[in-house]
Amino acid sequence: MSCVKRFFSVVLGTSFLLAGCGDDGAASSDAPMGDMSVASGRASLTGSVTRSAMATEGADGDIYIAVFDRDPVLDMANAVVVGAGFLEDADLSTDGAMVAYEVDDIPVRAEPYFLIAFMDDNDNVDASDPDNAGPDSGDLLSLRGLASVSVTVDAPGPHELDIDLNSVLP
Amino acid sequence: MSVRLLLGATLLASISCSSQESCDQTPGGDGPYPTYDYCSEAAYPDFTHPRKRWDGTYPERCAGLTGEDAWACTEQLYWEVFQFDHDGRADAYRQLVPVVEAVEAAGDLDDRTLARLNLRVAQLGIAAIAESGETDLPVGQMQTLLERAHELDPDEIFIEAWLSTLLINGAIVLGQDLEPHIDHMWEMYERDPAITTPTLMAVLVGFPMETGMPDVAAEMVDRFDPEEACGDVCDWEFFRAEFGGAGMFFSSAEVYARVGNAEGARAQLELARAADHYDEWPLKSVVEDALADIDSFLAPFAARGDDEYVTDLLVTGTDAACMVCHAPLPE
Repeated sequence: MSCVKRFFSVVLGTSFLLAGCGDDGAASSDAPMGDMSVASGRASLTGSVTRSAMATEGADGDIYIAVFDRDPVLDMANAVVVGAGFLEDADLSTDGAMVAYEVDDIPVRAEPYFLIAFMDDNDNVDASDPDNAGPDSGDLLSLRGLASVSVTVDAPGPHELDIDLNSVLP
Repeated sequence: MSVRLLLGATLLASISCSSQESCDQTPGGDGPYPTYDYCSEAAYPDFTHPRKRWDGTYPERCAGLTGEDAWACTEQLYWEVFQFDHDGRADAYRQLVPVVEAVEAAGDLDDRTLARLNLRVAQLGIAAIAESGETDLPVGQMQTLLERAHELDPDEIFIEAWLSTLLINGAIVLGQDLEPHIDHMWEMYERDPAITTPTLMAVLVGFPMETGMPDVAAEMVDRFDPEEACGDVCDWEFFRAEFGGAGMFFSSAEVYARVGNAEGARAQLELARAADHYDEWPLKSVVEDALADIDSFLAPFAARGDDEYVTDLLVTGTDAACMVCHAPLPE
């Protein structure tokens, strides 16, 4: 197997399942927090979702956003969703297009969280089962290199973070 | 030009000649090695030994160690599995990540050595994926290790080049914007071609021609001047990379073969043939076959066209990505 294909499979082998999301995409209230310190209060993330990756499926579909207590790319087995969002039928097909998002009810803490967003561009996720939503080949997703985007939510209230769907899952 | 010149240029040029001190000297004339201190109580690998790097000084998995002992133990384990026990690479990687975390938490290692520790563990993971096929290792974790290493030692271009290699791989695989990576790569090349060229060329040349990466690799080889890059490291014996000269020339030959430059490929193969230890090199027959029929050496690359990867065709991109230079000498 080639080195490149090995990297493919490593990336593909990383699940981005949104386990822990409520049916409406909101964070489950009893989401465990591991041994991280949690400050009092709840916060929200707001911003825009854009696309810089070259879409192969039209860039028009549902967008799933999940905030994890640890980087799910590095430790999917133990990563827990602490906040989630859902944008139905978002259209990012044109250059420069953007849609607004908001993820509420995130527990405040000093340590960074990790965010993954993906567009179900090939339209094969069962939207009625968001707990098991995850990207597959052709879907757009947000990454920082090969890891997740990190964000610190260390005070109650709104926090801004713009999300770029910069990758296409091979 | 001595093959040893190129070997020094390509594999150990990250070592500043001005940093040479007796306590850095690897026994046997192997030259200084970054962040080693042979005058200390720590037990660093003995590279003069033909068949082992792990000497039993330290506990298994380096468990419970921090500070310099953790670093020296990591080096022993790394080189043991990297050169001799390839099946043990993935387990060693998993064992060493907690060692890094423990050392980070203890805060008892200087920044430069801690950077080297993070780098080394990342390198082991990448070797396990690229050469040993251990696809369940978390490649994103290697990115974070390399980022941490770069943060700790921002002036060490060897670390920066490794991080860049990983990010370029990821960017192409994931369809991310390549432009900033290419700009950064050339910026690194201008700073230090001796490090940037061998670190990146075998990765870049495997990508589709339409990405422009193979041409970038060929240009790097065109512009590479080993005489200029060698410095004072030329007279060392390189126990860590006995086939570094042959490996570097062969990798350059694959770059030229990839872009259809038969004469360039032939010239590099001839240089590999003249390199130190060539007769003992595991890839000697590959070079002999290529020189006997250079067209057959180039043909598989051309057959892939402009839009396909060829990494699986590259000896330096697959089963011998590391061992092309680092294979141990036969006993």
